[in-house]
Amino acid sequence: MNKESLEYLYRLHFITREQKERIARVVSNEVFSLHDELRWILWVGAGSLLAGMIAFAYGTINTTGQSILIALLFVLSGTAFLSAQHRSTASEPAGASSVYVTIGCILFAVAVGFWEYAYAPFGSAWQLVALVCGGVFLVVAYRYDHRGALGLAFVGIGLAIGLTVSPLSLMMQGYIVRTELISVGFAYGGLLAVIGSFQQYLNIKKHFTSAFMLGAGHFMFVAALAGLVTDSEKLPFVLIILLLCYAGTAYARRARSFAALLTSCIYGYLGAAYLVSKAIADPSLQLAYIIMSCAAVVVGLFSFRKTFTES
Amino acid sequence: MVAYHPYWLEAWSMIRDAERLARSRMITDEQLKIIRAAFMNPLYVPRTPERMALYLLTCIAVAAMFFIGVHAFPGELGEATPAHSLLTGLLCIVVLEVLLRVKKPFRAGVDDALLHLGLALILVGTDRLMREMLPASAFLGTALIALPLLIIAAIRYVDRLAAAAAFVGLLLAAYLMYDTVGGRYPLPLVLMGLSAAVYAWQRNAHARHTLLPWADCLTWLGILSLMSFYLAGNTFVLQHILGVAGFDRAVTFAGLASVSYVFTLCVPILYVVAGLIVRDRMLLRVGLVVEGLTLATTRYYYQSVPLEHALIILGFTLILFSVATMHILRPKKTGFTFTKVPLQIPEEVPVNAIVLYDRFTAQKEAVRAFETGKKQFGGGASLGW
Repeated sequence: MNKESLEYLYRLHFITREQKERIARVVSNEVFSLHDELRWILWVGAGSLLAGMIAFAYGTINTTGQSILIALLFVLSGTAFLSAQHRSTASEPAGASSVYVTIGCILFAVAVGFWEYAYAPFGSAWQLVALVCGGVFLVVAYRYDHRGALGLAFVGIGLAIGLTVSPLSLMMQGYIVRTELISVGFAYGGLLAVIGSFQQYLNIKKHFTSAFMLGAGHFMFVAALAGLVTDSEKLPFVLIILLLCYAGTAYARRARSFAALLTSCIYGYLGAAYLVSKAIADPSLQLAYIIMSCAAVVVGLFSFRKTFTES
Repeated sequence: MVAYHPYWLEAWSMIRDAERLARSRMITDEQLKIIRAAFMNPLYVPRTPERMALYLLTCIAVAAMFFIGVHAFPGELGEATPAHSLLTGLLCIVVLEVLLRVKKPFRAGVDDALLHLGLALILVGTDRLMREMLPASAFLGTALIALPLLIIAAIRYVDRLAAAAAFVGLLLAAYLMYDTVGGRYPLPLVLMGLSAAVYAWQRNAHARHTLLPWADCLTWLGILSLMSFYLAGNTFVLQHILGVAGFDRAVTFAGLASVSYVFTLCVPILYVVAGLIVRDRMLLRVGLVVEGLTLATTRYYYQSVPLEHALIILGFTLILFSVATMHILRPKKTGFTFTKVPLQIPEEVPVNAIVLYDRFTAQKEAVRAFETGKKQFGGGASLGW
């Protein structure tokens, strides 16, 4: 905002004299904040360091250098968590420690994965690596009040209990090979939803409820879609997807969560697109359906979003 | 000349500035409401996701229109001709003009897409025509036609991309002119001089209230002129860019290779230092970006250490530098700080503003009632307005 606009707002009595002077001081950069610039440099440095370490690990995979590298990764991860701890106690603005927690989690996962790859401390049980990461991320999420770490914990635990999809097999063979994904996915999603609801009810970390619900939604939707693609009996899974879409939309309305609405729409759309692609054989009709339905989904989402913001 | 009423653009700029002030808690939400009501305007400015969706859908529609045209009236070999591009481009501009009169979209996605695709199609069509008519200097001809078109588009539609394209067109025209008629000074110096002139002009223009609606266009011009000033000096990168674009003329400082080294190493430092001294955020940020380009250039030509070692050393250095600077800057020293600019929400809204807000809200309600009445009864006159 330039000086003339500021003066204009003041003359119209929209801002006080104190405000005008304060804004003028900020606009003229009397105190020049380097907050964003220094954070960029920090991020670029962290990215560069990580990229360098990965490249180094790839180059020294069969030599003793990897032991040092693994130790270094653990030390760096611990340092990142300690920095987050320091920042959260130093009355920093909210989110200042978030970057350090994210870096710490990523470095920890890389360190454990590399350790398993190099020395196989868990034998051939790769699931244990995911479980260890998931467990640590869960503790970190509650300790630092970090929803990103909570999401990573859900993924880690999900991987440990066998919730993995191979997109390659889906593309090559047209179906998902591991059918236990369906039952485990429903059970895990349901468990997350129950825990999220209990937390909300007991007033413990209520702001984590949306993360639990979103996680539950993702796992249950993926399980339902896997069932729809794999099972010969389609109707139960169609009904489940419809039910999940309804539940997701209702939750989105109640919690005013656009992310929940988007999740329901995208998974519902994928299910519908799969059924239509099976029902319509003509490729040009399929293409026309995709274009029309995409436009309809976009318009529908925006009209829903409008009601969200207006209500 | 301008497609929008100047007052609407000014009112939109005021609202946008007020929103920024509210985001950084310099004014209250109530004050923002008052300013919104006071500077009410008929421009349709949707939010970013809606804008992106509208942009995408318009692109699909224009592409469909173009291909339907090619399919219905194919060229001799059944392919698209320059006429297809030119006509579709002109049609886009006509539709844009009609839309501006009827719906008044401003940076709404639809108008952006129509303008960008319209201009692109017109320029592609012109280039193809020039290639048929003047094969020897087709590219220069296209650049000279494109330049005024893009400048007019940037001014008329207050479009940032058109402004940026006009600047790139200017540099390209200068390069091609130099290629054709030659010049007294080395080409990099000519490009640097042009960039410096544009930067100085945009810096002056930024301070003028009448040019407030074009503030974003000027910012883009500033960023691009700083980048081009650096790239013109860094002949290594420039030569690669021109090579990729298909131009084979050597860009050098006429035998003074060391000048290029000096510019490549010194310009980023100059930007950062100058940005800190004059407290210009744009200069500082562009300086940081081109510092990265300098590092990449140095690494590309002098591979003294393996890549992974270079990355690790760079990462450590940057982290140490940023963390140390954060600690040094924490107590406000020499006017610089690491914390976000410390502000506080004002205690109370001025009484006069509340009175004005009531008046503006009443006006808004009256206008809404008038509009509703017009819809219901088929004309405002029946309500006695």
